[in-house]
Amino acid sequence: MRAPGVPVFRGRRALLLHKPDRDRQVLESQLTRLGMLVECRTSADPSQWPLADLCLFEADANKRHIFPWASGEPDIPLIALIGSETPERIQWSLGQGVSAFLVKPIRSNGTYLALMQAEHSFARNGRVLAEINELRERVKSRRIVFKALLKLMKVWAIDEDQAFDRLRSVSMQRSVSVEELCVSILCGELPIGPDTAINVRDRAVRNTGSS
Amino acid sequence: MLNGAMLAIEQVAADTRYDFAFTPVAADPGGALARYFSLSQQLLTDGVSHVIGCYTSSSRKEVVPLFERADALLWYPSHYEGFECSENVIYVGASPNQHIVPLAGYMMSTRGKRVYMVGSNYVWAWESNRVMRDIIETNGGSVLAERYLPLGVPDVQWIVDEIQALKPDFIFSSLIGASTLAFLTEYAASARTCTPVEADYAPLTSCNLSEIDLQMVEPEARVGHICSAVYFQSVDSQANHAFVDAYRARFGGQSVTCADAEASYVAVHVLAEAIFKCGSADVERVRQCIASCSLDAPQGTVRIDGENQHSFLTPRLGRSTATGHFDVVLATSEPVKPDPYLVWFDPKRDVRAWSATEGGWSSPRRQPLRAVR
Repeated sequence: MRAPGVPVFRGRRALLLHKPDRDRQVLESQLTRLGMLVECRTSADPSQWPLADLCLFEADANKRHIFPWASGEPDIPLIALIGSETPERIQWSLGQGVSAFLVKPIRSNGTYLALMQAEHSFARNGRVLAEINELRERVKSRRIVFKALLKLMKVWAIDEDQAFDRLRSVSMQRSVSVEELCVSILCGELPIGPDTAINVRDRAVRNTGSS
Repeated sequence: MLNGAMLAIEQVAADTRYDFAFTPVAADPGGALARYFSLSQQLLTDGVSHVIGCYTSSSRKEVVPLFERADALLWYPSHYEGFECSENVIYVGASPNQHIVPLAGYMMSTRGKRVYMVGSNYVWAWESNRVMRDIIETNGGSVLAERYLPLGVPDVQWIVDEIQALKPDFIFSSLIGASTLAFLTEYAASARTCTPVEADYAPLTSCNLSEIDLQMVEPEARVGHICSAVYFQSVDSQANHAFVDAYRARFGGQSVTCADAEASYVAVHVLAEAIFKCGSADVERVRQCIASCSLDAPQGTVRIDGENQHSFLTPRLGRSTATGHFDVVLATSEPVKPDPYLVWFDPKRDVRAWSATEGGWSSPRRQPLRAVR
């Protein structure tokens, strides 16, 4: 089995939002050692966000950072640099959707760990969210599928299993989801009368069966 | 390590260029992790600001926080697996791009892509095997097995049996200490029993096999292993002849040098050079000027990379002989920049870069490996 790949940080653009001090200096050199292109700022300028592949920010800055996305749903991995391990600061950071923490004072040790952790959990989070959205859509369309099934059963006088088999095979032929196909049927985009896609295959099968 | 450092300390004391001398304070943790911590604490409390030592990564990781807190410097004279860069450590031994990557490239180009991996059960072997696996698998090869032995365990017969059954193209060993010695002995014994057809036996390769290990096993168990290191006693240079002669004169005619002894020796000399240049043993001042120091070391020119406090070193491949030394098969013509995080590493490109035929090696003795008996 192929070993899981190690993320390559070389060439990635890191936006480092932190006041200029020793912590920022240590972190900037460590990120540079890892081959990253680092942009250091006390606070972000809106024009910088589209250029960043990830953002490391001071979680206990006097002025809270404002991110250009819906709260808790970052477009890029976030790493919080935290000095005070107080519940309020931790909860606020978690609420921003951070993928990893770095505890201050910053040492070169721990940075690579935080980067790998952020990379991993951001990617996993993205996959899980995509899957949840897909499942949510399917649940929503259950009624539509049910209605389309009833329509097929009625028009062709077949049982539920046969109707579902036909839906599935046509959806595969057309490379669309069953749910999308059902929407087409119900809104009349796909006629289900004689000689339509839905019944042609069925007739062909019957002919083969009888010869 | 201790001998290499002591020799250099004496040479610095005798060198008229220097108007200072080091006072050595030796502490022996005896391999016990907890002792590394307490002894380092004691040394730092006593005002020692430069410490040369630690062999295993576990011991280094144990003491690094102490050095960071005291803002002292640990001169770490061992090759290691990389992925660390403390401001309070000067890494004098080889980084992964200077030992394991060259070894993998060379072995794949001369022997094949089916590897058997065995190591002592700690971070050195885990990470070395991770890199080796990455290189092998990215290039269409396969890892036949990856086995670990607890530190110090000499029970290796089952490993040897498995190797005989799987017939890999080469073995990659990150075993250390007693396990290495047992493995060398048992593997040689198994080679004696194989038929002439099988005489093209898989060579044992390693990044940590040393002259010291070889001296501790019988002559027939010493021959034909491939080691990737930045120094062998057999390196043919004026600086190395002087080092070996001085070492023998100091520790006896039978004593042998090795990569770790050389690295400790280099560490002391680089420290002396830095103090000479900046005029102080102050840690911050030494750290500031260290990148500008260069040493004509036994292995060739050594200097510290200011970017990461690791060293520019000269990768070499050695094939072991019955006398317990290594013939240098290949070496680079220039020291190679350290890349402790393998930032610039590319498993496909680097295999070509270190292959025997089209690689960055520059030894006049460029020859493919032959059967190992």
